[in-house]
Amino acid sequence: MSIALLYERSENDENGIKLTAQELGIDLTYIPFRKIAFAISKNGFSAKTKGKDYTSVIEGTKAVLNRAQSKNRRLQASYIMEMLGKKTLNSSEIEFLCYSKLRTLLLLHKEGIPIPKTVFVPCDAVDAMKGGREIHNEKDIADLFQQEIPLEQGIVIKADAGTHGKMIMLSKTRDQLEANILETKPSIINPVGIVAQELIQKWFYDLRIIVYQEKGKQPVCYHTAMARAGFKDFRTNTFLGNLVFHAKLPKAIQDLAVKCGQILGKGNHAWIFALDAMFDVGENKNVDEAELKLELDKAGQAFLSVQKMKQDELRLTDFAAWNARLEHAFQVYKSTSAYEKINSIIEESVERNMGAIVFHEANSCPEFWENTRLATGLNVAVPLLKGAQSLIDS
Amino acid sequence: MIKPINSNQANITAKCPDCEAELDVPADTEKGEILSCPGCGLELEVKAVKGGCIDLQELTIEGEDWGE
Repeated sequence: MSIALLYERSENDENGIKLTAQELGIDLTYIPFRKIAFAISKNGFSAKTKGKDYTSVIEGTKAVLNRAQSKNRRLQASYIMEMLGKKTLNSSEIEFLCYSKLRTLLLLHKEGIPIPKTVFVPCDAVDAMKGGREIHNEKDIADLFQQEIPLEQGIVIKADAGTHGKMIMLSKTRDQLEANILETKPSIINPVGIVAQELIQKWFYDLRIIVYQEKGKQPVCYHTAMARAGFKDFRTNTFLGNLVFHAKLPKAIQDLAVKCGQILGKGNHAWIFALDAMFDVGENKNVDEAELKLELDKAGQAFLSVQKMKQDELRLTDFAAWNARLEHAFQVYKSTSAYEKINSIIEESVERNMGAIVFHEANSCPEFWENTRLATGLNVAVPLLKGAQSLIDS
Repeated sequence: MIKPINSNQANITAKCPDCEAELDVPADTEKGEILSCPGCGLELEVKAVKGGCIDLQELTIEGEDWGE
């Protein structure tokens, strides 16, 4: 019985999992979740591509690392695998929860975890009537949001199932708010309604915190988080060109993150999450912003060689060699004085603002190879593989 | 460049860079064509065909709901 890596395409994270499995001596099998027919009938189950029969691979699998990149396919994959009696990491219950920012936040809030003020209006911006007429709801929805969040404070509209900062829009005027509501059409990443949040005065960074649990062991919050930092945008997603640093976490934050993991883990024996958290820093800033921006510019220059290495096509032909070069480039970046200064500023700010933390998202299938691993020192593939192994061993 | 493991006038046999399944690629395949690996379904773009060698590269596809 083995662990299977289920995926749509082998991207860097999946290649990293394969490489790590080799280093740990763990046999991995592979289940492509793309052009494959999963059939159920009176004759049982089969899984076949045009050229290969994966049925026996799946029969021989006990635990599945679900790395389908599409949220919707990931959800279907977890249900299929669980119905076939496989253990999944993460489980379908967790995938369903993390699929939606609203569902995640509702559960965290219910259990007393601090979150940004969040408002959900179930109706869509535009309703289509029979005969082709439309009812426009954006003014009513804007009024409902403004009842809850002062516009001058900033209202952030979010696609409920979006990632990488997609469809996250800030409004500070009534016109912007209505336009952003109209923009949030029902889609695969925003199936229904509109989610809005207060704008958290998070200064220039947020944190990505990794929490995990292996079956039979205590849950763990990794002691160092990845900080995503920059003034490029009110969103701090690395996808949007922000820089990454590490930040050691105070014990109180580690404890709170573990609690988040346990809540979202919903009693599953093994799980892993990348939690996104920020601090309502307000004016509690520990350095002058002009000085900080200068250091960020210097760090940005140093980060260019990391970005260049990330794009290098060597990763397509020799992943291990590309990875060694990427690690070296990141170490060079990390050893610059600008990196060290910003790292100190973030860690001091985290200490000063611990009480102002809010958790705003939980990622069930985190990307980690290029940023989180290099910034924090945690290869997330290790807890992923060990978590799957623990489900088999017990 | 994916090295052919066998080539004759009609076909070039190459390996999928991901699942290592064998692909029979017609020798008259042209640059820019999109092939699908029979083993894993991965879409591969023909970047070059030269002297019995074929350069296949995984196509970058990203759906709207692709993410963490």
